[in-house]
Amino acid sequence: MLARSALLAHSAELAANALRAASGAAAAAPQKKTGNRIKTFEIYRFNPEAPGAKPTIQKFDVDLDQCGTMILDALIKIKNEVDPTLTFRRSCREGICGSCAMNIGGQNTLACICKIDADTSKSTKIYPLPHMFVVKDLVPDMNLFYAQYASIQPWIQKKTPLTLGEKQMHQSVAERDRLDGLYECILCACCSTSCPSYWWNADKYLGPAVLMQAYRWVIDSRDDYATERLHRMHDSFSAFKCHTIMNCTKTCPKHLNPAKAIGEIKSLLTGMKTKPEPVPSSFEVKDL
Amino acid sequence: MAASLRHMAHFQKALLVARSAPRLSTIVRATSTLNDGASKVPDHSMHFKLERLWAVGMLPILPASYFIHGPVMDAVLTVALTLHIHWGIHGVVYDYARPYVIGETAAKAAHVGVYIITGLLLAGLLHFNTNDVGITKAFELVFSL
Repeated sequence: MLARSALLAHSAELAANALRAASGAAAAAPQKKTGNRIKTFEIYRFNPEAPGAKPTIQKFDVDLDQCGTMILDALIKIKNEVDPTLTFRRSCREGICGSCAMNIGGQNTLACICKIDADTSKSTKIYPLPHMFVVKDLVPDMNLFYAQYASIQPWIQKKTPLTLGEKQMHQSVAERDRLDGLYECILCACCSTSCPSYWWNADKYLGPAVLMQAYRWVIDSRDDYATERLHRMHDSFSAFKCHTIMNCTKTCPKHLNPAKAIGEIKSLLTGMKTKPEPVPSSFEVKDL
Repeated sequence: MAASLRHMAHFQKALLVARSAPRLSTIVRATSTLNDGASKVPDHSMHFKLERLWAVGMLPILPASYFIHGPVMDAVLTVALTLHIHWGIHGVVYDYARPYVIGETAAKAAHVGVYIITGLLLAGLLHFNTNDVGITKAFELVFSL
């Protein structure tokens, strides 16, 4: 039995050799690697236009050798070549616009700066940002988030009348440094939608992204309305519903620290800290 | 020379226009839109601070109660634990027993329930302290097993 199978194997090898010889050099060339690195993506699908639609998970196989390195590349490839109905937001493809925020492999991040896990034995699951209303597929409804951002009035407010373009608004180097790590936020909502407190009380709790921006305007030395800004969120929900779970800081694709900003807000609200007085200009601020 | 003077005049006129252009000379209102009444909502900051201070204050009390036994420690523990637990449960109920999830009536009932639980806890501990061995003595007995 063994001898016979060995013989069969031998003859099969011979036949293969003969074939190879017959078809010449072309067949001897290295085989195209297609099929070696097929990665499965499990993508959340929801089409509100279909009556009675329920969300489903759809699997897509992508050849990693024919695809860019980032998750967004795979999504675009799927949309272009497999299913044009796959819907997601994207714009800058370099992690500065915040459009392609989604939940990839259980972590909120930007698809454009998230590398595809090269381990093809495991599939990668892609969901929209958690606990948001879904418009379609991977597109969440951001209206509440933007309304909350507007509610903190993210612009400079002065107590003295000023005419834009007349004078510069002086700020010392140290005062400007205080805004570092805050102004870089791109409002992708990865942090807010990773926060259980925001999941449970999104209607009353502002969420880490918006609170960090609130703090950015509170401590801006050029802004005169820190007290009023703080008073707007001194109720038991707006800022104090933060339970320091720290998911926000862990997930931030820009490596910012919203949890620290919220801590600072709490310190300011409880009077443990106060906003430093603006440093007067050491030189004459001339008219422009 | 005349041409350059004309250019000069043009340039000055352009500067003037630029200076008086609506976008550049917009006067920013000195009054803020921040005083919109939102600051009149109840101020939670004192409460929040008290909660933290209370928790920090409990840090020495709990190990101290291992060594110091007696009715005074029992009373201190009773008050400290009751309030601490009340605030903790209150937070949990506000997070999880939301009207959106369990309905308006059930949420109200849950919120009332917090006070019932706290009341029962306080009554139970006081009863245990006055009519039984008291908290510290009870742990003494448990540890002696």
